[in-house]
Amino acid sequence: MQRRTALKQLGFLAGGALLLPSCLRRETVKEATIQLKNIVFNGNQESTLAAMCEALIPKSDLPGARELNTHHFVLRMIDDCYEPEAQQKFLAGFAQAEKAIDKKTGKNFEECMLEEQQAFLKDMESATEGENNLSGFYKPFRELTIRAYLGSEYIMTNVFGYNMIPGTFKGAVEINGASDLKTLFG
Amino acid sequence: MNINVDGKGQNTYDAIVIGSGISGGWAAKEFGEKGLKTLVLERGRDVKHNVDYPTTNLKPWEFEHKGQLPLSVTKENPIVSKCYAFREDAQHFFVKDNDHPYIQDKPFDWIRGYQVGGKSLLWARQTQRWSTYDFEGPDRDGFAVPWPIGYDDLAPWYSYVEKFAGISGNKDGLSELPDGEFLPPMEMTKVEHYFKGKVAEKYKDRHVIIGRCAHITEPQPIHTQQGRVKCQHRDLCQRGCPFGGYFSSNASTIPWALKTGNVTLRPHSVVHSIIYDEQKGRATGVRVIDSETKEATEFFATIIFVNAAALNTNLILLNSTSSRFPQGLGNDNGLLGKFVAFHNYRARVSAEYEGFENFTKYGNRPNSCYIPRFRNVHKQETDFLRGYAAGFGGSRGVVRNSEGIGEDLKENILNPKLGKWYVGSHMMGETIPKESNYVALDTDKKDAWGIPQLKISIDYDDNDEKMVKDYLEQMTEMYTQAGFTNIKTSDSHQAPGLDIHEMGGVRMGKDPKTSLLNKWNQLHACKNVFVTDGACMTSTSTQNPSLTYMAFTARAVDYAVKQMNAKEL
Repeated sequence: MQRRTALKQLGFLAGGALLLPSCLRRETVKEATIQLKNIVFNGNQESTLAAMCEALIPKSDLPGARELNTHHFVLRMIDDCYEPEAQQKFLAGFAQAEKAIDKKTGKNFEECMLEEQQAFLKDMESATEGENNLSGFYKPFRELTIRAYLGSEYIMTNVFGYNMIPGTFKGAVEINGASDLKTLFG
Repeated sequence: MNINVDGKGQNTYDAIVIGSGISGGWAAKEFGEKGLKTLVLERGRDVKHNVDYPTTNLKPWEFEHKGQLPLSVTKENPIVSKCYAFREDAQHFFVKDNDHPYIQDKPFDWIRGYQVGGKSLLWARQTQRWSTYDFEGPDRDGFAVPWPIGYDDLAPWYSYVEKFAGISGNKDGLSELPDGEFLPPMEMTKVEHYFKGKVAEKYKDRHVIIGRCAHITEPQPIHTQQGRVKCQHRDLCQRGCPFGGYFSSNASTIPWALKTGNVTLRPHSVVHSIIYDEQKGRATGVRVIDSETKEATEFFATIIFVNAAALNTNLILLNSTSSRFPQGLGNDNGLLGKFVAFHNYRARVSAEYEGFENFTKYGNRPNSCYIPRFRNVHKQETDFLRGYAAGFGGSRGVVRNSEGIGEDLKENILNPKLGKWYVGSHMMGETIPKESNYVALDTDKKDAWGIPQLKISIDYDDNDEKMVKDYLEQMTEMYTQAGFTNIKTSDSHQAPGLDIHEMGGVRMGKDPKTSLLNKWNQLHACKNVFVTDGACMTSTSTQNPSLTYMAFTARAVDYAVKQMNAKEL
């Protein structure tokens, strides 16, 4: 937001559309739907992040990452549980990712088709293997999205049969080929 | 100090109990049942069973950070953050570093729970009796001072507290770890059973048993009367248990005590010191500072029980000075605060086992297996004194491939596989009480209530180092014998304190010249003051100590009341 304001003040915004990355081309900047204490992240960025989470774990017969609000957990954790330095790397890496997708496709992440989005995530994944700014975003993004997804009420109850009150403990349960996940991990 | 001395009559009781944790709760219950008008002073807030367990029914996804604590909390609390249970679900039951500072002459991670129930909400609930060999240790091996009592003195009181608290365990028939009044044992896992068998086969004197723990596995009428039911295997004990499945002061002794109508519980009451009356030659009461208003009040009683938790009990006695006792109450020999010891929890050994692939476990077990001390039990055998017990557990890991993007990733993470069986063990070593391991009052720094801060000077010694080495070697050998693979040893070098088993400073003994308390936990030099928490411990042995504090407390209350009735107190 500060950056946008700065650009506006410098008079770049009106005629500068062609020069600016697509993420900054949107007409209005929305407020984020999550209250953050330490990092600055606007609603447009939040929406991009949600799309990235969804591309990482898309909807099928089971809900996707967006529906399970994983992007909120990603932001909550970055905001509350990461060192300031890691927070800055996350933000810088995110900005770099936005620019890179614009450069590659001329569109913002949300405007891309799922295949393009996933191809881009793959690019990021290989790019981060050589350790660079992107990894400061991509690694925690990926790890926290997976953690949020697996730790969601929907997945914990419907897929893994989470039972808060097992009532008993059995030391030796025999398993066989037909044993389902709920038996294996109960 | 501005003291409110109005209404001395209404501030007078038969007994005052300082502290409402695991031993204070027992004192409250025993006094209440015996009909004594009793005041229980707790420095923290009230925590009512169930009512004040805010996280107890929260599902994992209902925690904002899924259990993890925000960086702001861990950075502000470097000490308590080292404790395994200081997490999002139970952080409200721990003392925060800045609220109650102390001085570390040597590194000491002092973990505290200031609330009604104290650390009994947070304890690991392992409950083993001491054996005759443990009580005989100091005398046989020539350290500390001889215990003034033996196993036979305490055995009936172990039985007494076990029946009420509810202790699950197996009658293993081991002289080094006497059986108790057990509710049915919890089950061992496949690999734990296997290890038990292998150890029994290779070593005559080593035993792997299921842990004896303060969980109700089959409620008896005495538990139902407390409103407690069977442990539900949630394994979320640190949040406070809505079923009363495990023993805590909050679920058990405190409500029981209050039900007698004889007990008054007063939270927010920081005890400044015990009042000693020179003319009467006895303690007459305590000075209390309200933790919120800082107002000082005096309370009076015939009998005073100090159950403030080991180091705070030392602090209160050290701060109870008079012209008769310028160095602290009952401290004629200058040994108050000295000979503090703890348990050495530094070392761990983990490994894997290939086999039992078609077996797993179901549910959670808030308990593990236990290996009683096998070193130097009957005679001195090693180059170090005493020995160690060990926790042991075996379960199956989960292998989760989290590679890929999109559907591939989803497929991978939603289809985890059971991994190999893994096993883990940690040592619980006896440390030798020494005069050089001590606590004292700081001469400058005071806390927010005008009470001197505690200065802690406690460290490991060579004996501890040798014991760590031996534990790692012996456990590795036992694992190897059992065919475990990928054996990994570690020494955390954690500071004393993190074991949360600090003991001593007001030790029991036969001789007033070398100890503070007699065989009834009574100050030699001030007979109406009793100490029955960890501060009374002459040596530490290897057992988790709480059960022994409970037994000491019930025994001492019984004695104190008999003495009072006989006009001896």
